[in-house]
Amino acid sequence: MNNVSLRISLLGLAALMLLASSGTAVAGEAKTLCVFDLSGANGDAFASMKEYQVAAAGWGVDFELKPYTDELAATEDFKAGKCDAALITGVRARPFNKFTSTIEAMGALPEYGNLKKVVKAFSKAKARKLMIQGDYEVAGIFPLGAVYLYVNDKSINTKEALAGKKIATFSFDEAARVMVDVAGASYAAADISTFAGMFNNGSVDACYAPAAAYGPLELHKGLGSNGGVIKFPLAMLTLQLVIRTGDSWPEGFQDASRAYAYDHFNDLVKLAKKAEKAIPGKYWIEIKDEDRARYEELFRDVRVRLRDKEKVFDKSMLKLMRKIRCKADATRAECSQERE
Amino acid sequence: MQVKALSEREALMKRMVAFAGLALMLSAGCNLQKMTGDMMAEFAVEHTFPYTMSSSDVDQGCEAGVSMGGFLGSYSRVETDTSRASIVSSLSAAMCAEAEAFEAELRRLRALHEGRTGEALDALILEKQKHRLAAERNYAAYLNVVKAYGEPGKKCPKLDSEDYPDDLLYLLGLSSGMLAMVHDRHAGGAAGIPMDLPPKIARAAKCVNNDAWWGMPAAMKAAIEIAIPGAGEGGDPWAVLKESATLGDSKGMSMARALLVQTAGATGEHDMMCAAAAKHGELLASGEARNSKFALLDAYGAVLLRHELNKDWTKQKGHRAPVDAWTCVEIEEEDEGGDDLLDDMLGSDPPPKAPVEDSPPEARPEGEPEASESGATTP
Repeated sequence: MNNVSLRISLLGLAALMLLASSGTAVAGEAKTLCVFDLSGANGDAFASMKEYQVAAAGWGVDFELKPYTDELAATEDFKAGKCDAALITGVRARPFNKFTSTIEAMGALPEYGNLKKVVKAFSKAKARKLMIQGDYEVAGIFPLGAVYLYVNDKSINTKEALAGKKIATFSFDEAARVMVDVAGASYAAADISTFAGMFNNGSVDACYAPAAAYGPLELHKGLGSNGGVIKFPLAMLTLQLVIRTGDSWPEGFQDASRAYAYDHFNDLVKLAKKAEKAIPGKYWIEIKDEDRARYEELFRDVRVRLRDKEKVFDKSMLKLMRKIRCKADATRAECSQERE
Repeated sequence: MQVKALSEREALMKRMVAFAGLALMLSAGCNLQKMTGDMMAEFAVEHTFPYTMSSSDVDQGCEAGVSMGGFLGSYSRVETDTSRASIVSSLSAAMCAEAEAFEAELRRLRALHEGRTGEALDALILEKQKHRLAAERNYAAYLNVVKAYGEPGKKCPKLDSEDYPDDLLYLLGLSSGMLAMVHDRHAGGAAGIPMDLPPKIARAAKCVNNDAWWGMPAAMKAAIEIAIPGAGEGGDPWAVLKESATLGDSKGMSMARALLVQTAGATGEHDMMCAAAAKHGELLASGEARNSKFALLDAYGAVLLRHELNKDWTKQKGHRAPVDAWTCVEIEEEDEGGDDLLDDMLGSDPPPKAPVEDSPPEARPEGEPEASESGATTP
């Protein structure tokens, strides 16, 4: 090939490259993100992941979103390598990261503002090592809403009144089982598809769920004319994005993902608060200050036991959340004690 | 003088009669409007609705809803009950918004496939806006059901089976309620649709004859039970959904099958979704007659079904499903290697056999030239 031909060829190649870059960007690494959402692809969690998917494309990851209505199936498929990432609740994320899973400890974060502080702290690059446990890393924590106790009688509004009452309790949640036990209540095994029916038909006296469950599961039937919802968050439910550290991810993906979760915290809390507003005012049970203090003491007893005996909760995370609670309200009784 | 007095009396009488006539006309004007409205609303339900239903042109059907909805609804201002007519105009208008939401969704998926994040984000924003509009329009249809028939989920309303659209109006209104919720979730809750509609709709669906309406009532109920664990009364909602799809097939109506495909897609049951969609393609290819009386609904079901396929194709290929394709993208299985697995057992291939030199040449047909060693013939 002579010099002229070579120059023409090189020019042509350069022109082609210019055309290609002006119209089409190079797609990122293809990954599968398995999303747990009770309503599958029609649910709020999945909808929010669509936005995450667009953002992730900008970080160099081309996620395919796969909806799962069965959280156990999503977790198992992730472990088996069928998913490169999984979005699951904190309870299910426990085997992957005990530290972040402890966010959902009962009574640990009484307000959304508390949870936001935690998510903000985790969004910093220096927090990365805490997000990694063994072969897994938590690349984002998203709020799913506060969990409340629904009771069929408004008089079940104190720690003492819980004694002997039957509470529908998810079998896979060891922390919840211990909680029911320590409260002196009676544990009635349930799962996501049975708990509402048990409450609504009177088989149990109480159940716990986020406000978003009230409408679709018609929990007003279980509440009846005497029941109510205790206006005291039992826990902050979260969805945690778990990835494998051994897989290849673009540089900075993990930090960008956690920062994204923090930046979009308010959007998701808005949905949770909307659901809470949809519960009629007549059902909300306000807790007296002295009863609130006793509930908090009960929750603290349970957290400490789950930390020391069952080893379900992480000590450092409990300590961090205590710090946040005491910074928000230094008059809390626990702030002069060092139990957590 | 007397003649002049008579003319004046005549003129006065004439003026009085004219005045009375005008007063009568003016008072009748208010009733005329209501009469017109009542007639239009009844005409819409008894004639416009069936006529539109008999056409498979979904785009025209939805545009009719957008353009006629305001006109029909305005008669409510003169005390005409437009609720039944407005069920159809509202849900038809919702179909237009839904179509735009679908297009925005495909644009987003296409942009993601090509790595164009700005485009993807823009498409997502538009998608949510259109889902919100679809939710609001569908909810308007549902609220007209409440107005016309009472709140669903309590006791079954009296549906006039002689006046044939009543069953169908009720059923379509219920499906609008369900669609309102689905679209609102895709819009991030922006339309504020109440979350307690699904169980009411599931109960109300039992009020409509399942066999007469192509399995759609049972399919709707099953889809809701799959979406909300514990909302059902027991049994296998997937089995019900599949049976409903088959029933719909036998009546040339795709709505129940569309619900099966959508629900499978939404719950990650990809293989089930693909099989259910492919079945629709087989039915079309078989040439079996489709439901002509409700061609619009059959065509709409096909639109919903096709959108699931379009998403599948766009995610994997960057473009929607080809015009006559009713299957998902076939994923080629990865070459897992292993070609040399049996080498140790079988050893390498034996050398080819050498040609036998002392065999007599094959007899050549008469006139055929002798072949040389190279294969070239010599004339």
